[in-house]
Amino acid sequence: MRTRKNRKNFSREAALPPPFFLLLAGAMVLALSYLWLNGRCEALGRRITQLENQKVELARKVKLERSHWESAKALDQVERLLQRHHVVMTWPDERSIVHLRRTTDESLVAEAAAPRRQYARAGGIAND
Amino acid sequence: MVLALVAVLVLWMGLGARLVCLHVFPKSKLLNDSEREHVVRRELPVARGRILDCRGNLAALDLPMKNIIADPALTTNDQQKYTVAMQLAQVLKLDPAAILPRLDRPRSRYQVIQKFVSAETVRDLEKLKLPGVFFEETSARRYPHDQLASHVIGFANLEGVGSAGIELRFNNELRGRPGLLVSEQDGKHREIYIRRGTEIAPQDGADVYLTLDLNLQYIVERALDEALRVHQAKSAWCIVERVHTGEILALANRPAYDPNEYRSAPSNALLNIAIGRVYEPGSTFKMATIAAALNEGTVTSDMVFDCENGKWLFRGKILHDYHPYGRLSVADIIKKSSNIGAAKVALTLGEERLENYLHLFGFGQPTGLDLPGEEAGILHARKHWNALSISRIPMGHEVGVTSMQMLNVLCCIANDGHLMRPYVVSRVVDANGLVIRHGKPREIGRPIREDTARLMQKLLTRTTEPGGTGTKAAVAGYTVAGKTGTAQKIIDGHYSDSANVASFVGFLPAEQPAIALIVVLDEPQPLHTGGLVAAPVFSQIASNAVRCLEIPSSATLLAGATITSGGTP
Repeated sequence: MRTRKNRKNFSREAALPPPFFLLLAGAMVLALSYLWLNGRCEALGRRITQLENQKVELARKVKLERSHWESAKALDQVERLLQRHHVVMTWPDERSIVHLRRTTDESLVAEAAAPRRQYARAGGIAND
Repeated sequence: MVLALVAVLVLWMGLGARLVCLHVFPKSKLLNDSEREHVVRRELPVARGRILDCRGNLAALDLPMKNIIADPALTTNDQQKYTVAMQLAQVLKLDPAAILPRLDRPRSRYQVIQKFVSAETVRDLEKLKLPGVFFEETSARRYPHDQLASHVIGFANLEGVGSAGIELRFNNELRGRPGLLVSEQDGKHREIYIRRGTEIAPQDGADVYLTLDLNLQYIVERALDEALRVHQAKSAWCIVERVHTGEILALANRPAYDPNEYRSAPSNALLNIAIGRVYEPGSTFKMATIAAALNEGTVTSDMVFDCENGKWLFRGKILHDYHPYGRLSVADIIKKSSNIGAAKVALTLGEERLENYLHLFGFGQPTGLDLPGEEAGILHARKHWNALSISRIPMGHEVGVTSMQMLNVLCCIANDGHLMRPYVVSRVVDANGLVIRHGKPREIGRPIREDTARLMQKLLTRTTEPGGTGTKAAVAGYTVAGKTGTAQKIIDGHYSDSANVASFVGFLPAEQPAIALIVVLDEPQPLHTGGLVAAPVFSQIASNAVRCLEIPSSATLLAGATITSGGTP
């Protein structure tokens, strides 16, 4: 006949000693953190590689476009186009050239800007 | 049962032992195999530096291209090979018969179909999705302006090594340094970024900025093309130099070549004639002789010499003038370009002083231009001169010069006697924007005084005035100073009557010299004198150049207007 366990006298014993459990839990957290970080790093790595490839591709496109632009604005090309459209160009006369110079003098810049502000007020635009 | 258990145990122990052997005592061959499979060691491509003109226009750059490669092992079916060959031929504009044998090599896994294919063509091929055809990244040197300034820019060969012009001279600066990437890859040959070990970024080549103005260069080349056509000359060349600094603004030769197609260029087109051909200059040389005599004070501009009505017997040989003249002043000797007058002026100077001055002007040595292939010219030492040399050298015989030397002497006169080193590179800028080399104006000598140079400027102005030999060099609104030259070529040891080198060298505006030009035509027909052949080309180029460079006219200068001279906008 089977003897029944005396539940009152049964002393509850932990499956693992608490320090060992803590150690195990810590190791698990560490492992999970490592996995998460590893995954994160891999994702970032993929993104970086993707961006690197994109940069190379963009640099390639910029170079191609720059080359096309240079060829398009080459003087012989411009001249061919002008001829095709029957446009005759001559050099401007020295007297018809107006030389503009950029000034760095702030007072002159402010003076030049003043009439525009007045006009803006008169027009009711609050941009001053 | 026990036996089976023992067998399994032994098997596991064997496997364990093998594992230990592999990990603890690894064999180098296995390690190498593993490394080869996983570790990727790649040289990161570097872009060769660009070449730009003074306005920032691109003259040379590296373009990303692709090579078309076939893997014949993937096209086993004959019908498939034929189809692939036909489609490739159609897009690449090749003969299918040239492609088919390359696809018919089943043992080969790598056959180059075509190198350096543009992105557009690759896009067309990608749409076709041809089996066994793949693309390989590469880059090629491109010159967007084709043959414009080809002799200055030069070219880089298929291996990316500079082989002519600036490409050769500045190859070390332009080539850059390739990078290195050591990393690991997965089974699908994708890089595992987090295993990336070494990464040395490539250092792109430095950019070379030229003093050349491609707009002006175009004007010069178009004028030379027309001159070559009109005068049926064998070759023609021109240099434009900024007087005060020695900057070369344009340098062109005809025949020229397209650096994009340098392999098909004829050998005579590859020579930079303007600095690499030595010729007898003829009358343009007289300005050096007379400047020397004026500087030494052996003559004055109004001193008169008897020009013997065009025939002068000197030490048993007759010296001729192109037109007979009686008595001419030194000023008129330049204006009329009298050989006899120049010889008599040189006699007042004497052999020793003449030789010294010619050395001081830089004859017989390269000017120091930063381009490869510059010749030194020929100026024999005085001990090798014969009895007639003192009468022949002053008129540009018995000496060999390059056009660069001749122009530099004129610039010296226009620059109040300061002889500058000509240069074509204004700066070299590395990939980080740091200027690693700066081309600066450098004085290399002062053969004549300022007052002599000023006097020579005035005398040379008379050449383009009515009655002078260079009237066709005149430019509306500008006073031009210069000298014509017509040199007979030596053919079979004798001076030819039909083969000449016609030249004009001049500067403008004479009141305040800004630029100087030399135009030379080799064997023009039927007209053959510098005044009739080279001077009009000079005029054509100079009249456009002054507008292109915004050089104020003589009238403006005389009116004392303050316009900045000749600067690029």
